[in-house]
Amino acid sequence: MTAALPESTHRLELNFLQTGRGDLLATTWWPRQGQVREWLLVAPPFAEELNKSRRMLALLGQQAAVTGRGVLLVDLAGTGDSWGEFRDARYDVWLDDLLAAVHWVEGQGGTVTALLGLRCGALLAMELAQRVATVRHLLLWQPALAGSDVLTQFLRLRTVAGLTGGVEAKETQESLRRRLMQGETLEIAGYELTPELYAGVHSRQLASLVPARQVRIDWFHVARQPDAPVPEAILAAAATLAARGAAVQTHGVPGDPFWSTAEIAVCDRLLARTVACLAT
Amino acid sequence: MRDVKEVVEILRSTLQLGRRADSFTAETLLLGHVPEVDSMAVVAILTAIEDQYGITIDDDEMSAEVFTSVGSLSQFVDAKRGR
Repeated sequence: MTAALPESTHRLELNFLQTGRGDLLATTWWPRQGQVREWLLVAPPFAEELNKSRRMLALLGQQAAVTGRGVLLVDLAGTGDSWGEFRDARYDVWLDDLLAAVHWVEGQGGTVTALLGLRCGALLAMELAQRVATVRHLLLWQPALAGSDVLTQFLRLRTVAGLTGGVEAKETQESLRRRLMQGETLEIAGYELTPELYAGVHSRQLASLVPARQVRIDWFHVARQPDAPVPEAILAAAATLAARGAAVQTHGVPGDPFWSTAEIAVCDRLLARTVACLAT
Repeated sequence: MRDVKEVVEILRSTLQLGRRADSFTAETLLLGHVPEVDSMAVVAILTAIEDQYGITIDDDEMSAEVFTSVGSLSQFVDAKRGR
């Protein structure tokens, strides 16, 4: 298990950010020492992956305190302890929620200079960076290359139910996607996926979201084998971001896929590498 | 089946089996035998395989047979990797 930093290096604070649509839970980790000027804002992953990742994100919030930064995790509309149900969630509203978080930081006299995007959150973080000029640094944890990949994996929760003894007739990705396109809301593993949210996620591609100004991108790929190289497909995707003007560095990190493991898992090396990147 | 060892590592990691995976061989039965293998876990395993090898798996290629045993899953990964 992780040796968490002594409690005294950071302070945890919960706030509700008011938006025109409803309140959002904002979890903040503050360094105890000195004035907090720079902030790292976390763009969360999709649906159940956030629940699996909360421990890692909390540890990041604590450990990033040593760099003198504040860390802010906002539960997006329809998720966690923020307003609404999952069926109320919309991709564009999520972007607005993250912007509201940026404005909240500015209201505290701080600046969001770095974004951390986990999985689907990487797509959100890149698009947010296009809109928030103070962001210089993006840290991507196992980024989704496209929203359609996120949805394929999410819809699978239903298509594989037949394999594991579910009673539903054989459903395919194609039949589910067709029903969404025809305007039907589908329940997937307890989450109501609306056609609107489906369309919003589906239209995003990581490579097309590179900000026009130069940003630094640290891309972390977590894999079980300690000596496993970063797969070709990931290197190629990272090269595409670089070709579009970003300063990209890929990092292969040995560890478990904590966003989807059966039990809550922690990847200490990812935390250490991430904090090291934040500090330089 | 060169991938048996790697598949065991993927199972150990995604299912958080710890030392329990040490005894896994190609003959170890999965679906219906290892309680952690539910639909959430199947998705996690497929995603981990896709991530690790940079491949894409179609749901049409999926069947209960693939998840019968460590060996059948390894054969599937072998075939997907074109070996």
